[in-house]
Amino acid sequence: MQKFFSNRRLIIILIAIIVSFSLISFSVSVRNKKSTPPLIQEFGNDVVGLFDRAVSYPANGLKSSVVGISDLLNTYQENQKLKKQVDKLAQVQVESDTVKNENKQLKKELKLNSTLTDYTSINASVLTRLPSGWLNQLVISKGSASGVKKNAPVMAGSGLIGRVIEVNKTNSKVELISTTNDSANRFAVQVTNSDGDIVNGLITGYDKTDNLLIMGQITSKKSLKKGDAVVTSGLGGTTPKGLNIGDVSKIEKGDYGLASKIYIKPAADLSDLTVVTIAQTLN
Amino acid sequence: MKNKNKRYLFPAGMIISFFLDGTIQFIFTPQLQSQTTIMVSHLLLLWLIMGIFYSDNKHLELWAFGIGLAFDSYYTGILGVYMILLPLIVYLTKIAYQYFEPSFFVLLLIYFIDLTVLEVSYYAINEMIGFANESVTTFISTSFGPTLAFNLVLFVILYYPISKLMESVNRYN
Repeated sequence: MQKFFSNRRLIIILIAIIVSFSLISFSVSVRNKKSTPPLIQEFGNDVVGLFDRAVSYPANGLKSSVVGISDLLNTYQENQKLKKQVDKLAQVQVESDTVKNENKQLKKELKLNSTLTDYTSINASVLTRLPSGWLNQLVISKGSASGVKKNAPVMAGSGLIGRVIEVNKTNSKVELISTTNDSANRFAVQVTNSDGDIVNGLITGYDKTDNLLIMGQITSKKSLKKGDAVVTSGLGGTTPKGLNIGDVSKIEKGDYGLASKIYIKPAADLSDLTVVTIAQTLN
Repeated sequence: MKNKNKRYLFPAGMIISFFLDGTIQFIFTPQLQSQTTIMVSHLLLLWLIMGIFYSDNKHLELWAFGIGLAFDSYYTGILGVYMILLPLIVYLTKIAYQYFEPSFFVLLLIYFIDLTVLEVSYYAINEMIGFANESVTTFISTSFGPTLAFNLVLFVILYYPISKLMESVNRYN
Protein backbone atom coordinates (compact mmCIF):
# COMPACT_ATOMS: atom_id res chain seq x y z
CA MET A 1 0.00 0.00 0.00
CA GLN A 2 2.77 2.46 0.84
CA LYS A 3 4.08 1.92 -2.69
CA PHE A 4 0.85 3.42 -4.09
CA PHE A 5 1.32 6.85 -2.67
CA SER A 6 4.91 7.48 -1.83
CA ASN A 7 5.51 11.08 -0.80
CA ARG A 8 6.85 12.26 -4.12
CA ARG A 9 4.03 10.65 -6.13
CA LEU A 10 1.42 12.08 -3.80
CA ILE A 11 2.76 15.59 -4.19
CA ILE A 12 2.86 15.28 -7.98
CA ILE A 13 -0.75 14.06 -8.04
CA LEU A 14 -1.91 16.84 -5.73
CA ILE A 15 -0.19 19.51 -7.79
CA ALA A 16 -1.68 18.05 -10.99
CA ILE A 17 -5.17 18.15 -9.47
CA ILE A 18 -4.75 21.75 -8.31
CA VAL A 19 -3.42 22.82 -11.72
CA SER A 20 -6.25 21.10 -13.53
CA PHE A 21 -8.93 22.64 -11.32
CA SER A 22 -7.52 26.11 -11.81
CA LEU A 23 -7.39 25.48 -15.58
CA ILE A 24 -11.02 24.36 -15.54
CA SER A 25 -12.17 27.47 -13.70
CA PHE A 26 -10.04 29.63 -15.98
CA SER A 27 -11.57 28.08 -19.12
CA VAL A 28 -15.11 28.42 -17.81
CA SER A 29 -14.62 32.04 -16.82
CA VAL A 30 -13.14 33.14 -20.16
CA ARG A 31 -15.52 31.05 -22.26
CA ASN A 32 -18.07 33.79 -22.91
CA LYS A 33 -15.56 36.55 -23.58
CA LYS A 34 -14.85 37.85 -27.06
CA SER A 35 -11.10 37.35 -27.08
CA THR A 36 -10.92 33.63 -26.35
CA PRO A 37 -9.32 31.24 -27.11
CA PRO A 38 -5.74 32.22 -26.26
CA LEU A 39 -3.39 32.33 -29.24
CA ILE A 40 -1.52 29.12 -28.39
CA GLN A 41 -4.73 27.17 -27.95
CA GLU A 42 -6.05 28.56 -31.23
CA PHE A 43 -2.89 27.44 -33.04
CA GLY A 44 -3.08 23.99 -31.45
CA ASN A 45 -6.73 23.60 -32.43
CA ASP A 46 -5.91 24.56 -36.02
CA VAL A 47 -3.21 21.89 -36.23
CA VAL A 48 -5.50 19.24 -34.70
CA GLY A 49 -8.32 20.30 -37.02
CA LEU A 50 -6.06 19.84 -40.02
CA PHE A 51 -5.44 16.20 -39.06
CA ASP A 52 -9.12 15.69 -38.30
CA ARG A 53 -9.96 16.45 -41.93
CA ALA A 54 -7.96 13.40 -43.00
CA VAL A 55 -10.19 11.20 -40.80
CA SER A 56 -13.55 12.94 -41.11
CA TYR A 57 -13.74 13.59 -44.85
CA PRO A 58 -13.51 9.91 -45.89
CA ALA A 59 -15.94 8.99 -43.10
CA ASN A 60 -18.41 11.65 -44.21
CA GLY A 61 -18.08 10.45 -47.81
CA LEU A 62 -18.92 6.93 -46.67
CA LYS A 63 -21.92 8.19 -44.75
CA SER A 64 -23.27 10.24 -47.64
CA SER A 65 -22.95 7.31 -50.03
CA VAL A 66 -24.94 5.08 -47.66
CA VAL A 67 -27.56 7.80 -47.30
CA GLY A 68 -27.51 8.19 -51.09
CA ILE A 69 -28.48 4.55 -51.62
CA SER A 70 -31.42 4.71 -49.24
CA ASP A 71 -32.49 7.97 -50.87
CA LEU A 72 -32.46 6.31 -54.26
CA LEU A 73 -35.11 3.83 -53.13
CA ASN A 74 -37.56 6.59 -52.25
CA THR A 75 -36.90 8.63 -55.35
CA TYR A 76 -40.05 7.94 -57.32
CA GLN A 77 -42.56 8.86 -54.63
CA GLU A 78 -40.58 11.88 -53.64
CA ASN A 79 -40.35 13.05 -57.23
CA GLN A 80 -44.14 13.03 -57.60
CA LYS A 81 -44.59 15.04 -54.44
CA LEU A 82 -41.87 17.52 -55.30
CA LYS A 83 -43.17 18.18 -58.80
CA LYS A 84 -46.32 19.62 -57.32
CA GLN A 85 -44.34 21.90 -55.01
CA VAL A 86 -41.92 23.16 -57.63
CA ASP A 87 -44.59 25.05 -59.58
CA LYS A 88 -45.64 26.90 -56.48
CA LEU A 89 -42.05 27.59 -55.49
CA ALA A 90 -41.10 29.29 -58.75
CA GLN A 91 -43.89 31.76 -58.25
CA VAL A 92 -42.90 32.44 -54.64
CA GLN A 93 -39.27 32.88 -55.69
CA VAL A 94 -40.12 35.57 -58.27
CA GLU A 95 -42.35 37.33 -55.81
CA SER A 96 -39.71 37.26 -53.07
CA ASP A 97 -37.05 38.58 -55.45
CA THR A 98 -39.24 41.54 -56.40
CA VAL A 99 -40.05 42.27 -52.79
CA LYS A 100 -36.38 42.02 -51.84
CA ASN A 101 -35.39 44.46 -54.56
CA GLU A 102 -38.11 46.85 -53.57
CA ASN A 103 -37.03 46.55 -49.96
CA LYS A 104 -33.46 47.38 -50.93
CA GLN A 105 -34.53 50.44 -52.88
CA LEU A 106 -36.74 51.67 -50.08
CA LYS A 107 -33.90 51.20 -47.60
CA LYS A 108 -31.66 53.25 -49.85
CA GLU A 109 -34.29 55.95 -50.03
CA LEU A 110 -34.46 56.02 -46.24
CA LYS A 111 -30.65 55.89 -45.98
CA LEU A 112 -30.81 52.75 -43.83
CA ASN A 113 -27.55 50.90 -44.31
CA SER A 114 -28.39 47.73 -42.49
CA THR A 115 -31.38 46.47 -40.57
CA LEU A 116 -31.88 43.55 -38.26
CA THR A 117 -32.73 41.17 -41.08
CA ASP A 118 -29.47 41.60 -43.01
CA TYR A 119 -26.83 38.92 -42.79
CA THR A 120 -24.21 37.18 -44.89
CA SER A 121 -24.14 33.41 -44.92
CA ILE A 122 -21.04 31.23 -44.75
CA ASN A 123 -21.31 27.51 -45.54
CA ALA A 124 -19.25 24.99 -43.62
CA SER A 125 -19.16 21.24 -43.23
CA VAL A 126 -19.20 19.52 -39.86
CA LEU A 127 -15.85 17.95 -38.94
CA THR A 128 -16.73 16.14 -35.75
CA ARG A 129 -19.00 15.97 -32.77
CA LEU A 130 -17.88 16.07 -29.16
CA PRO A 131 -17.92 12.54 -27.74
CA SER A 132 -19.92 13.38 -24.64
CA GLY A 133 -23.46 12.87 -23.45
CA TRP A 134 -24.56 16.33 -22.48
CA LEU A 135 -22.23 18.91 -24.01
CA ASN A 136 -23.79 19.11 -27.45
CA GLN A 137 -21.03 20.64 -29.51
CA LEU A 138 -19.81 20.39 -33.08
CA VAL A 139 -16.54 21.37 -34.73
CA ILE A 140 -17.08 22.94 -38.15
CA SER A 141 -14.61 23.49 -40.98
CA LYS A 142 -14.59 27.30 -41.25
CA GLY A 143 -12.97 29.81 -38.94
CA SER A 144 -11.91 33.41 -38.68
CA ALA A 145 -10.05 33.14 -42.01
CA SER A 146 -13.46 32.80 -43.70
CA GLY A 147 -15.05 35.56 -41.64
CA VAL A 148 -16.75 33.55 -38.90
CA LYS A 149 -17.20 35.53 -35.69
CA LYS A 150 -17.96 34.47 -32.17
CA ASN A 151 -21.65 34.29 -31.17
CA ALA A 152 -22.89 34.06 -34.77
CA PRO A 153 -26.01 31.87 -35.11
CA VAL A 154 -25.72 28.64 -37.08
CA MET A 155 -28.44 27.18 -39.33
CA ALA A 156 -28.87 23.76 -40.91
CA GLY A 157 -31.53 22.70 -43.37
CA SER A 158 -34.61 24.64 -42.49
CA GLY A 159 -33.85 26.01 -39.06
CA LEU A 160 -31.55 27.34 -36.40
CA ILE A 161 -29.32 24.79 -34.66
CA GLY A 162 -26.97 26.75 -32.42
CA ARG A 163 -24.33 29.36 -31.92
CA VAL A 164 -20.60 29.71 -32.57
CA ILE A 165 -18.78 29.66 -29.21
CA GLU A 166 -15.15 29.51 -30.22
CA VAL A 167 -13.36 30.65 -33.37
CA ASN A 168 -9.95 29.43 -34.50
CA LYS A 169 -8.26 30.30 -37.79
CA THR A 170 -9.59 27.36 -39.80
CA ASN A 171 -12.23 25.74 -37.61
CA SER A 172 -14.70 26.75 -34.96
CA LYS A 173 -16.93 25.22 -32.30
CA VAL A 174 -20.71 25.33 -32.33
CA GLU A 175 -22.85 24.86 -29.24
CA LEU A 176 -26.18 23.31 -30.23
CA ILE A 177 -29.43 24.92 -29.17
CA SER A 178 -30.22 21.74 -27.21
CA THR A 179 -27.37 22.33 -24.75
CA THR A 180 -27.97 21.95 -21.03
CA ASN A 181 -25.17 24.36 -20.20
CA ASP A 182 -26.40 26.90 -17.65
CA SER A 183 -24.13 29.70 -18.82
CA ALA A 184 -24.85 29.38 -22.56
CA ASN A 185 -25.97 32.43 -24.49
CA ARG A 186 -29.70 32.39 -25.11
CA PHE A 187 -31.58 33.21 -28.31
CA ALA A 188 -34.16 36.01 -28.33
CA VAL A 189 -37.18 34.71 -30.20
CA GLN A 190 -40.70 35.77 -31.11
CA VAL A 191 -43.94 33.97 -31.93
CA THR A 192 -46.48 35.46 -34.31
CA ASN A 193 -50.07 34.23 -33.89
CA SER A 194 -52.82 34.17 -36.49
CA ASP A 195 -53.97 37.70 -35.59
CA GLY A 196 -50.49 39.05 -36.25
CA ASP A 197 -49.74 39.69 -32.57
CA ILE A 198 -46.14 39.16 -31.52
CA VAL A 199 -45.01 37.48 -28.31
CA ASN A 200 -41.34 37.91 -27.36
CA GLY A 201 -39.27 35.58 -25.23
CA LEU A 202 -36.06 33.62 -24.84
CA ILE A 203 -35.10 30.02 -25.54
CA THR A 204 -34.39 28.94 -21.97
CA GLY A 205 -34.01 25.20 -22.16
CA TYR A 206 -34.46 21.90 -23.89
CA ASP A 207 -36.83 19.06 -23.13
CA LYS A 208 -34.76 15.95 -23.81
CA THR A 209 -37.53 13.36 -23.61
CA ASP A 210 -39.70 14.97 -26.29
CA ASN A 211 -36.97 16.80 -28.26
CA LEU A 212 -38.65 20.16 -27.75
CA LEU A 213 -37.16 23.58 -27.12
CA ILE A 214 -38.55 25.52 -24.15
CA MET A 215 -39.32 29.22 -24.51
CA GLY A 216 -39.54 31.20 -21.31
CA GLN A 217 -39.34 34.83 -20.15
CA ILE A 218 -42.50 35.56 -22.12
CA THR A 219 -43.55 39.18 -22.26
CA SER A 220 -47.28 39.13 -22.95
CA LYS A 221 -50.43 37.11 -22.45
CA LYS A 222 -51.66 37.08 -26.03
CA SER A 223 -53.18 33.79 -27.02
CA LEU A 224 -51.09 31.40 -29.10
CA LYS A 225 -52.06 28.25 -30.91
CA LYS A 226 -50.27 25.03 -31.75
CA GLY A 227 -48.44 25.48 -35.05
CA ASP A 228 -47.69 29.21 -34.76
CA ALA A 229 -44.29 30.00 -36.28
CA VAL A 230 -41.30 30.86 -34.08
CA VAL A 231 -38.42 32.96 -35.45
CA THR A 232 -35.50 34.88 -33.97
CA SER A 233 -36.43 38.42 -33.00
CA GLY A 234 -33.08 40.09 -33.69
CA LEU A 235 -33.11 41.68 -30.23
CA GLY A 236 -29.73 41.66 -28.57
CA GLY A 237 -27.80 42.39 -31.73
CA THR A 238 -25.78 39.23 -32.36
CA THR A 239 -28.56 37.33 -34.14
CA PRO A 240 -30.29 38.57 -37.30
CA LYS A 241 -34.06 38.82 -37.30
CA GLY A 242 -36.28 36.24 -38.96
CA LEU A 243 -34.27 33.01 -38.77
CA ASN A 244 -36.65 30.06 -38.60
CA ILE A 245 -36.60 28.02 -35.38
CA GLY A 246 -39.75 25.88 -35.54
CA ASP A 247 -43.36 25.99 -34.50
CA VAL A 248 -45.29 25.92 -31.26
CA SER A 249 -45.97 22.39 -30.06
CA LYS A 250 -47.68 22.96 -26.72
CA ILE A 251 -48.26 25.71 -24.18
CA GLU A 252 -47.99 25.23 -20.46
CA LYS A 253 -48.99 27.55 -17.65
CA GLY A 254 -45.94 28.15 -15.46
CA ASP A 255 -45.56 27.96 -11.71
CA TYR A 256 -47.92 30.15 -9.66
CA GLY A 257 -49.73 31.17 -12.90
CA LEU A 258 -47.19 33.91 -13.52
CA ALA A 259 -45.49 33.12 -16.80
CA SER A 260 -46.26 30.41 -19.27
CA LYS A 261 -43.83 28.08 -20.98
CA ILE A 262 -44.02 27.48 -24.70
CA TYR A 263 -42.68 24.23 -26.14
CA ILE A 264 -41.26 24.54 -29.64
CA LYS A 265 -40.72 21.75 -32.13
CA PRO A 266 -37.40 22.61 -33.81
CA ALA A 267 -37.43 22.72 -37.61
CA ALA A 268 -33.91 21.35 -37.97
CA ASP A 269 -32.95 17.77 -37.11
CA LEU A 270 -30.28 18.25 -34.44
CA SER A 271 -28.99 14.69 -34.62
CA ASP A 272 -28.28 14.54 -38.34
CA LEU A 273 -26.07 17.41 -39.41
CA THR A 274 -23.47 17.39 -42.17
CA VAL A 275 -23.51 20.88 -43.66
CA VAL A 276 -24.29 24.04 -41.73
CA THR A 277 -24.68 27.72 -42.58
CA ILE A 278 -23.39 30.50 -40.38
CA ALA A 279 -25.59 33.60 -40.46
CA GLN A 280 -23.22 36.46 -39.81
CA THR A 281 -24.72 39.87 -38.98
CA LEU A 282 -23.16 42.67 -40.99
CA ASN A 283 -22.34 45.15 -38.25
CA MET B 1 14.69 1.44 -40.48
CA LYS B 2 11.98 -1.12 -39.88
CA ASN B 3 12.45 -0.93 -36.13
CA LYS B 4 12.35 2.82 -36.18
CA ASN B 5 9.02 2.91 -37.99
CA LYS B 6 7.47 0.51 -35.50
CA ARG B 7 8.07 2.92 -32.66
CA TYR B 8 5.42 5.18 -34.16
CA LEU B 9 2.61 2.62 -33.95
CA PHE B 10 1.50 3.61 -30.45
CA PRO B 11 1.25 7.39 -30.99
CA ALA B 12 -0.25 6.91 -34.45
CA GLY B 13 -2.94 4.59 -33.14
CA MET B 14 -3.62 6.95 -30.27
CA ILE B 15 -4.14 9.90 -32.61
CA ILE B 16 -6.37 7.87 -34.93
CA SER B 17 -8.55 6.67 -32.04
CA PHE B 18 -8.70 10.26 -30.77
CA PHE B 19 -10.27 11.38 -34.05
CA LEU B 20 -12.37 8.24 -34.46
CA ASP B 21 -14.14 8.96 -31.15
CA GLY B 22 -15.48 12.24 -32.53
CA THR B 23 -16.18 10.89 -35.99
CA ILE B 24 -18.14 7.89 -34.66
CA GLN B 25 -20.15 10.21 -32.43
CA PHE B 26 -20.88 12.48 -35.38
CA ILE B 27 -21.73 9.89 -38.02
CA PHE B 28 -23.83 7.66 -35.81
CA THR B 29 -25.54 10.40 -33.80
CA PRO B 30 -29.08 9.20 -34.65
CA GLN B 31 -28.20 5.67 -33.47
CA LEU B 32 -26.09 6.62 -30.45
CA GLN B 33 -28.10 9.49 -29.02
CA SER B 34 -31.83 8.98 -28.64
CA GLN B 35 -34.25 10.29 -26.07
CA THR B 36 -33.63 7.48 -23.61
CA THR B 37 -30.04 6.42 -24.27
CA ILE B 38 -26.80 8.25 -24.87
CA MET B 39 -23.80 6.16 -25.88
CA VAL B 40 -20.34 7.70 -26.09
CA SER B 41 -17.38 5.94 -27.70
CA HIS B 42 -14.14 5.79 -25.70
CA LEU B 43 -11.72 4.25 -28.19
CA LEU B 44 -8.95 6.53 -26.95
CA LEU B 45 -9.17 5.07 -23.45
CA LEU B 46 -9.28 1.56 -24.93
CA TRP B 47 -6.06 2.21 -26.86
CA LEU B 48 -4.30 3.60 -23.78
CA ILE B 49 -5.31 0.67 -21.58
CA MET B 50 -4.23 -1.85 -24.22
CA GLY B 51 -0.98 0.10 -24.45
CA ILE B 52 -0.27 -0.45 -20.76
CA PHE B 53 -0.53 -4.23 -21.09
CA TYR B 54 0.72 -4.97 -24.57
CA SER B 55 3.04 -2.20 -25.70
CA ASP B 56 6.50 -1.52 -24.30
CA ASN B 57 5.97 2.21 -24.25
CA LYS B 58 7.47 3.60 -21.03
CA HIS B 59 5.98 7.09 -20.91
CA LEU B 60 2.27 6.37 -21.10
CA GLU B 61 1.29 8.99 -18.51
CA LEU B 62 2.97 11.67 -20.60
CA TRP B 63 1.24 10.51 -23.79
CA ALA B 64 -2.09 10.42 -21.94
CA PHE B 65 -1.45 13.92 -20.62
CA GLY B 66 -0.68 15.26 -24.10
CA ILE B 67 -3.64 13.65 -25.83
CA GLY B 68 -5.92 14.67 -22.94
CA LEU B 69 -4.87 18.28 -23.33
CA ALA B 70 -5.54 18.09 -27.07
CA PHE B 71 -8.94 16.53 -26.36
CA ASP B 72 -9.93 19.33 -24.00
CA SER B 73 -8.74 22.05 -26.31
CA TYR B 74 -10.11 20.67 -29.57
CA TYR B 75 -13.40 19.09 -28.51
CA THR B 76 -14.73 20.88 -25.45
CA GLY B 77 -12.70 24.07 -24.99
CA ILE B 78 -12.60 23.45 -21.22
CA LEU B 79 -8.96 22.71 -20.36
CA GLY B 80 -7.99 20.45 -17.50
CA VAL B 81 -10.64 17.70 -17.57
CA TYR B 82 -9.27 14.87 -19.72
CA MET B 83 -5.84 16.36 -19.13
CA ILE B 84 -5.95 15.07 -15.55
CA LEU B 85 -8.37 12.14 -15.87
CA LEU B 86 -6.49 10.20 -18.55
CA PRO B 87 -3.02 10.23 -16.91
CA LEU B 88 -4.59 9.44 -13.53
CA ILE B 89 -6.43 6.42 -14.94
CA VAL B 90 -3.27 5.25 -16.74
CA TYR B 91 -1.29 5.60 -13.49
CA LEU B 92 -3.83 3.63 -11.46
CA THR B 93 -4.07 0.94 -14.13
CA LYS B 94 -0.28 0.62 -14.18
CA ILE B 95 -0.39 -0.12 -10.46
CA ALA B 96 -3.06 -2.76 -11.00
CA TYR B 97 -0.96 -4.20 -13.85
CA GLN B 98 1.72 -5.31 -11.39
CA TYR B 99 -0.68 -7.77 -9.77
CA PHE B 100 -2.17 -9.41 -12.86
CA GLU B 101 -1.15 -11.47 -15.84
CA PRO B 102 -2.73 -9.85 -18.89
CA SER B 103 -5.57 -11.94 -20.29
CA PHE B 104 -8.87 -11.22 -21.98
CA PHE B 105 -11.02 -11.38 -18.86
CA VAL B 106 -8.61 -9.50 -16.61
CA LEU B 107 -8.45 -6.69 -19.13
CA LEU B 108 -12.21 -6.67 -19.57
CA LEU B 109 -12.67 -6.14 -15.84
CA ILE B 110 -9.95 -3.52 -15.60
CA TYR B 111 -11.36 -1.69 -18.61
CA PHE B 112 -14.79 -1.83 -16.97
CA ILE B 113 -13.42 -0.17 -13.84
CA ASP B 114 -11.51 2.45 -15.84
CA LEU B 115 -14.60 3.33 -17.86
CA THR B 116 -16.55 3.74 -14.65
CA VAL B 117 -13.92 6.03 -13.16
CA LEU B 118 -13.75 8.12 -16.35
CA GLU B 119 -17.49 8.46 -16.87
CA VAL B 120 -18.36 9.19 -13.25
CA SER B 121 -15.61 11.73 -12.68
CA TYR B 122 -16.33 13.38 -16.04
CA TYR B 123 -19.97 13.68 -15.02
CA ALA B 124 -19.01 15.02 -11.58
CA ILE B 125 -16.77 17.73 -13.06
CA ASN B 126 -19.40 18.77 -15.60
CA GLU B 127 -22.06 18.84 -12.92
CA MET B 128 -19.78 21.02 -10.79
CA ILE B 129 -19.25 23.65 -13.48
CA GLY B 130 -22.90 23.65 -14.52
CA PHE B 131 -22.54 21.99 -17.93
CA ALA B 132 -24.44 18.82 -17.13
CA ASN B 133 -27.94 19.43 -15.93
CA GLU B 134 -29.29 16.02 -15.06
CA SER B 135 -29.79 14.13 -11.84
CA VAL B 136 -27.59 11.22 -10.82
CA THR B 137 -30.37 8.71 -11.52
CA THR B 138 -30.96 9.93 -15.08
CA PHE B 139 -27.20 9.98 -15.63
CA ILE B 140 -26.89 6.35 -14.59
CA SER B 141 -29.87 5.11 -16.58
CA THR B 142 -29.58 7.16 -19.78
CA SER B 143 -25.87 7.81 -20.19
CA PHE B 144 -23.68 5.69 -17.92
CA GLY B 145 -25.23 2.26 -18.46
CA PRO B 146 -25.54 2.40 -22.26
CA THR B 147 -22.03 3.87 -22.59
CA LEU B 148 -20.54 1.03 -20.53
CA ALA B 149 -22.36 -1.59 -22.58
CA PHE B 150 -21.39 -0.01 -25.89
CA ASN B 151 -17.72 0.28 -24.98
CA LEU B 152 -17.49 -3.24 -23.59
CA VAL B 153 -18.87 -4.53 -26.88
CA LEU B 154 -16.22 -2.49 -28.70
CA PHE B 155 -13.61 -3.99 -26.37
CA VAL B 156 -14.70 -7.54 -27.13
CA ILE B 157 -14.49 -6.86 -30.86
CA LEU B 158 -11.20 -4.99 -30.80
CA TYR B 159 -9.25 -6.90 -28.11
CA TYR B 160 -7.60 -9.51 -30.33
CA PRO B 161 -6.71 -7.25 -33.29
CA ILE B 162 -5.16 -4.57 -31.06
CA SER B 163 -3.29 -6.94 -28.74
CA LYS B 164 -1.84 -8.89 -31.69
CA LEU B 165 -0.86 -5.66 -33.42
CA MET B 166 0.93 -4.28 -30.35
CA GLU B 167 2.69 -7.57 -29.57
CA SER B 168 3.93 -7.96 -33.13
CA VAL B 169 5.63 -4.59 -32.83
CA ASN B 170 7.27 -5.39 -29.48
CA ARG B 171 8.91 -8.64 -30.50
CA TYR B 172 11.54 -7.08 -32.69
CA ASN B 173 12.63 -4.37 -30.30
